[in-house]
This record gives sequence, C-alpha cells and structure tokens, in this order.
Amino acid sequence: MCRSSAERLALCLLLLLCGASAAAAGQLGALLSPGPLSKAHRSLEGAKCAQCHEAGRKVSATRCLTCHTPVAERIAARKGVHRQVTECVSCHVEHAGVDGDLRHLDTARFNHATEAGYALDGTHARLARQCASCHTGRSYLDARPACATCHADPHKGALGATCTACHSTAAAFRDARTHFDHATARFPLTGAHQRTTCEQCHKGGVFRGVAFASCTACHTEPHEGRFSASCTSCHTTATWRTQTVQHAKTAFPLKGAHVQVACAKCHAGTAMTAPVRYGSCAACHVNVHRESITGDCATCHTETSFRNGTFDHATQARFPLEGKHTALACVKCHTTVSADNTVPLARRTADFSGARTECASCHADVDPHKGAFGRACDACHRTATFAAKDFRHPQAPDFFAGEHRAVTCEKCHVPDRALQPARAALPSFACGTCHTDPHLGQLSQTCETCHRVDAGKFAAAAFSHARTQLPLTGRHETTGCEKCHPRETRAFPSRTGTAVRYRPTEATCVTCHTDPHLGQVDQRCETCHTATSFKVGAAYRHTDLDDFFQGFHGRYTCRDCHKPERRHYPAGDGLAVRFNVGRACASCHPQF
Amino acid sequence: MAASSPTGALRNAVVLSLLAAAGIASYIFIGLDGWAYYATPTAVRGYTAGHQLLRPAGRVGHLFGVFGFVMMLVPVAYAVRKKVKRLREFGSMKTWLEVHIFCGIVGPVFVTFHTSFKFGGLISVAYWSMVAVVLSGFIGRYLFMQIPRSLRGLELTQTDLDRRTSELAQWLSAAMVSERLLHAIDAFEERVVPVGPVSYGSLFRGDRLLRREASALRAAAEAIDGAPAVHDDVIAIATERALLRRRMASLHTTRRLFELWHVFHMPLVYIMFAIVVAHVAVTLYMGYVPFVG
Repeated sequence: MCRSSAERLALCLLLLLCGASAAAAGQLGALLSPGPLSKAHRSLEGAKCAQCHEAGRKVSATRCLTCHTPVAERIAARKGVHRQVTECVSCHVEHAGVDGDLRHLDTARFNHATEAGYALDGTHARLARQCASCHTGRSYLDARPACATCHADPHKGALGATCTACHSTAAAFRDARTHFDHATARFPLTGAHQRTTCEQCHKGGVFRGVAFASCTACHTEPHEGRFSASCTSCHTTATWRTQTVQHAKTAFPLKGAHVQVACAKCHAGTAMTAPVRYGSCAACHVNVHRESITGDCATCHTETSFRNGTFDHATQARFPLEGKHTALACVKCHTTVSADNTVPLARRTADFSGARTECASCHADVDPHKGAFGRACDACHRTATFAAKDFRHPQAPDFFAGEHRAVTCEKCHVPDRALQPARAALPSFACGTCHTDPHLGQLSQTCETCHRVDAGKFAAAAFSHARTQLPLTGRHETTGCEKCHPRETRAFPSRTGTAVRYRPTEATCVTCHTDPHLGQVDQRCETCHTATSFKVGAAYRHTDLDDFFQGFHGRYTCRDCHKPERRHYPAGDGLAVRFNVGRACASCHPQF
Repeated sequence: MAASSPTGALRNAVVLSLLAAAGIASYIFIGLDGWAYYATPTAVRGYTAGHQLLRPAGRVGHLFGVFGFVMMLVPVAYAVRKKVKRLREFGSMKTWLEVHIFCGIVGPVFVTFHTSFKFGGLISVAYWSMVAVVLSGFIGRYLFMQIPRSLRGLELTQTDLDRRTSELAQWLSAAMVSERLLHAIDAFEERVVPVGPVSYGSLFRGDRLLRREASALRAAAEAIDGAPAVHDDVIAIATERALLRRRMASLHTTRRLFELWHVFHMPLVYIMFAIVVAHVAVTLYMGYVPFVG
C-alpha cells in the first residue's frame, strides 16, 4: 500500500520527474499555458512565453510591437485606431483557442470616420457592419479610401479617375444622374430635359461627344419642314407639348376658354399645318340650337364660357325672369334642351323654339282651376310665389277676415261640390253654404247671433245666457255649459244625430239637478236653496218649531238630527238625509 | 437527535456545504452576470462585458482562485491535525471533519469558477485531481461513518462496543413486549448482521438493507400487537443494536477498505497541490498578483 512516507516521496519524485522531463523537452510552456494560442500566433506555441510575457509585467505591449511594426508606426504617429494605445491585451485576447478572435471589432460602436479617417455615409453606411466587404486583406490597413479599391469603372477611364465629380455616396452608384450637376457640362439640362434618363441621350454609355447643337440631334421634326428650322421659336424645354406660339399675332387671338383648348382640337393632324376657318364659330362648334337660333353666336355667348353667356332674357326673349323664374334651369321651360349630362355641353341640343311668354306655355298641365278662371293667371298669381296669398276677395272683406282668413281657397271653391260656386256663380255668404249645422236645427239659422268670424274657432262670443229664460247667477255662472247642455245622440229638429242639446231645456232645477231628498220635500227647491249656494241657507229656521230650537237644542246643527239613512222614501229606496225624523224625543234620544 | 451523533453531523455538514456551494454558484451566475460570460464561446469570450471581472486573472476571477486555494488548504490542516499529537486537543475531530467537508466542497466551487470553465494544460491535471479528491471524499465519508465512533468522533474500542450492545440487549429484554415480537426482533438481527467475512459490496449495501429490514420489523410489530406507537422505542433500540452489531461484524473489512481509500485519496491531493504551487508560482512570476491588479 501507499501509506508509507517512502512511497509518497517516490510518488512526488515521479511527478517532479515528469515535470522535469516535459521542461527538458521544451513543453513546459505548453503545459503551463492557460489555453492554445490563435492561428496567427501559432508559431509561438510551446516554450516561447517570453516572446509576449515579461516577468513581473504580464503581457508587455513593447514585446507585441516588436513584431507588429506597422501598428507600432501608427502608434508613434498617433494615427488611426491605435493612436492612443498603451497596452494590447485589453483588445486582443489570446489563449482563447486556435479559433480565438484577435481582431474583435464592435461594429455597432466603431466610428469609421473617427477611427479610420473615412466616413461610411450614404450607401456605404449599410456596409458598416460588413467589414470584409472592403477589407479583404489580412490587415485592415490594406484598404485605401479610393473608389476603385472596391468599384469597377464602367466608363473604362473615359471620364477620368475622379468618380466623385458625378457620383456620391448619397445615392446608389448607378444613380449618378440624380446627383451629377449637368449644368457643369456644355448642355445644361432644363425643363423636360431634367426628367430625361441619361440613356436617352447618352446611348451606349457614351458621355463625351454627344451632339446637342440642334434639337433634331435627339428629336424628330414633326412639321415636315413647313415651319421655321428653329424649334425654339415655338417650343421650350419646359415640355415638348408646351407651345409658346404667339397666337395673338395671328388673325385669331386666343381668349377665354380658347386659351385652354389643346392645339390639336382645332389644328387637326400632327403637323398642325392644315388651315383653320376661324371666321365662323360653326367651323369648330356645332350649332346646338339647330334652327331656333341661327344668328351671330356672340349675341349670347362669349369666349369665356359657352355656359355663362350674355343673353338677356328680358330684352331678347321679351320675358323677364323674375321671382321664382330667376332660379329655374333653362330646361324647365325650354324642354327641348337636352339635360343629358353625359353629352358634352357643346354637343347638347338646345333648341329654344316653341316656348311662349304666357303662363300656360309652361303651366298648362298644372292649372288647378281647370281653366275656370281663364288664362290670365297673373290676375291672382305673381312670379314671387305661385300661391295666391295676396288675393283679397273683392266683396265683403269683413267676411273674409278672422277665422276665414286662414281658410284655404279649396275649402270653399271645390268645383265638384254643388254648394261651391264657380266664377260664373259666386258663392253665398250664408254660413250654411260652407258650414254644416252642428246644432241639428235646435237653434235658428242666424249663426251670427251667437258666433263671430273674428272669434277663435268661430266661438259663440256674441251669445249671452241673459237673453234666455234662465239668466245664470251664483254658482250657475261658473258651472260648465256641458253640465246642463250635454252632448247627446237623439232626435233633433233637423235630424237624429249627436249634438249638444240646447232645446228643449226647461228652466227648472230638476231639469239639471237630481232630487237628493228622494221625494221627502216638494220640488220647490228655492224654498230652501239659492243659486248662490246649494247648501241650505244658514238663516233657515224651522218655521213651526221655533220654541224647540230655543235653548239647549239651539246649539245643535241640522245633521245632529237629520242623519243620512238608507230606507224607503217617497221617491223610492235609497240613501238620503232623513227629514221626517218625528218629534218625539225618542226620535233623536233613544234613551228616552 | 440526528445532528448530535457523528453521522448526523456529517450529513448536515454535507447538506450545508452543498447549499453554500449552490448559493455561491447562483450568485456568480446571476448576481455577477456570470452566465452570459461563461456561456460565451471561449474564442470571443474575451470581448464580453464580464471578461475583465471574471477571467482567471480578472479582479474577481483571481479572487475565486485564491479563495479556492485557501479553502482547499483546510482539509490539509485536518490531516495535519490528525497526525500531530500536539494538535489533538485543538478542536474535536467531528468539528474538524465538518470543516474539512465544507471546505472540500465549497473550495472546488470557487476553483471551478476561477478556471472560467476552461480546462487545459498542466493545471487541468490539478483540477481533475481535485475533482477526484472531492468525489472520493464522499466515499471516504461513508466509510468513516461505518466505523462506530463516540460523540467526539473518536473510534470506539471493542470494550465500548460490547458494553453498548449489552446495554441495548438489557433494554430490549426489560421492555414489556410479547414473545412473538421478541422472536421477530431476533429474526431481524439475523437477517441484518452478517456472519463471517464481509465483502466490499455488502459493505455499501448494508445501510440500505438495514433500513428496509427495519421497516419490515415495524410492520411486523404492528401486525403482532397492533399498537405501533408503543413499539417505537423498542424498534429504535433493536435497530441501533442491529446496526452496531453489523458494523462490528464489518469493522475489519471497513478498516481495510478505508486504508485503500487513503491510498487513492492522498496521492491525488499531493499531485493537486504540487501542480497548484507551480501554477501559483508561475503566475506570480509573470506579474499576475491578486489584490494588486
């Protein structure tokens, strides 16, 4: 067993022997190494620790720069990424394995402009995290800030080596057109030329020697040589279609809407050389009025617009448009004018023939009087409003005041009704001509005795009960009419029907009042009651019992003795205050 | 009760050590954002935020190595305490062993983080030796527990063992239990206590066998008298007596295996420390001095 000190000592010696052997074989460095070196430093693997490590000073930058001389030079020159570097291991971590990354770069935070002196802007910005796109060599220092380092010259040197004269990183390399300032060339681009693609003029990628002295170098001449050879006398570069032709100098200056008309509308053909008969409107425009108007178009129309002409309806048509006629569309009267909006205005038929100035020309089919009042509508109607509101009956103006004022004409003037007269037979002013008798013959036909036309709803404002057999006094003055004159359905003088009953109505109490005493007293109510109050008067005294009500009994009220009792009375069984209570003391004092 | 015995105290020491190790590891992984650092491939790990802190020579990573090294020295002190007579009165063996176990578990955790999970070169031999020492320590602890000891952790003599077993036998006979239960206890001891030479395999299976048979005895006692609560003390005495007798029967085999374990355990310790000393010496020579920067 290995318990003895000798055996343990032997084991330690064996271990030391192994270490010594490894050291002798030059492998001690590898054994003590915290991890394999990267590929770049592979040659230093083994017992070459001192190449980088310095006793007591860890990894010395001095030793690193002994080999990395280009970096040492830039540090000395204080240039680039390493311009302020004092030690290496904080950025370059070794012993991280064969695949260890020695040049780790945080592309998100690396400022290429500051650190490398070349800003990655514009389209280069997207390459900021793709270092290998430009830095293809072993060292980042191999790349140079020249376009040709990464880009091929499509112009094959024809435009020189200064790419930035036309190109910039603000746009894609091929989009130099958007940034190249053509004004620096001998042919500055203006107008529509600025929207032209480079290839349309620079065919085949030829940028030098392009002919530009004549427009026809690029453009085809459409006028077959009939006009001046100088295109710019009519055309500008603003747009090929833009015309700078001075039409004002021609026999037909363009005014109003004619200015907006395309040339080809009048000048047919691509060459625009065909003669135009400008003396007549009809040369270009269709006479939409056909035979109704054949005169000079300028009488009504101007060049500003066909629609808003200078036509004066009052003088030229002898029919001034007033009142409601003012806002009417032409087609409302001139029905032969086409209202089809799908047809261009200049092509629409506008035949004004056939319209006359009399009302019936347009209103014939809507005459509510069926011709009964003739054709002189303006006798009653005005153009301000066709309703004859201002019409006043020439006869009996008082009659047509009051409630009659709001009555529409048709209420009385109904042609189909026999009672309502036409113009030939004027209506009677008798009430019964228009109104039916609501009293069904109970009263006379002289309605105005009670009713007035100037009272609301023909109320019986002229009626007075004082003229009747029963002048109303006392409580009767505040009693509703319907209390005595109820609405009944029965046989009335004129016919059987429903009406407020006025007659026959006798001026007796029982006509309206029921007998609460059930026949205990006679029907001379006024003996005890008055119209002031139906209650028995306070001054009533028992005429035959004066002595009885003296003294003690004088303190009692009527109801102390005359109590309501349900029993048989002269008028029948029922509940009533019993008057005939008897004179025996026991009638009221049962204890007796 | 369990913690007051040597075996219970050791079990608690192991549990406490594992909890401490887990706590330290959790703090490093979460509190120091170590997970992000250690999970990064070594090829680019040097450029992460935690590199300057957690790399082996970093401000914290270097301290991990120092702590781990110092904690691994404590078990050595335990061995010295056992060998040097003048130190025998310096703390009980039980306490020393608990500290030994604690440092032997927590120390390697610090060392593991010091390596930053890079295992290469000669120092990796030391690391894996340390791992082997720790793992074998668990086996050693088991064997240590198989040897009957006093509360202070000293091995009991044969006289002590005999006196204790007779005491337990007297308690059992004094207990008012039925004849059938006494027979069941006798049968339990016959099944648990080996007769004749004990193999190494049965040594490791003994505790499990004892637990299983003790459960069977408890079930039998319930079937016999139907009042299990009454028999708790009787079952406990019978189990302790059987355990003591079993360990007495296995004592020779246990001691022999424990010696063999030392032969495996200690050389690994020597190898580990020899390489670590060289590692420390080289790093100090190169200028990597902790607390200095």
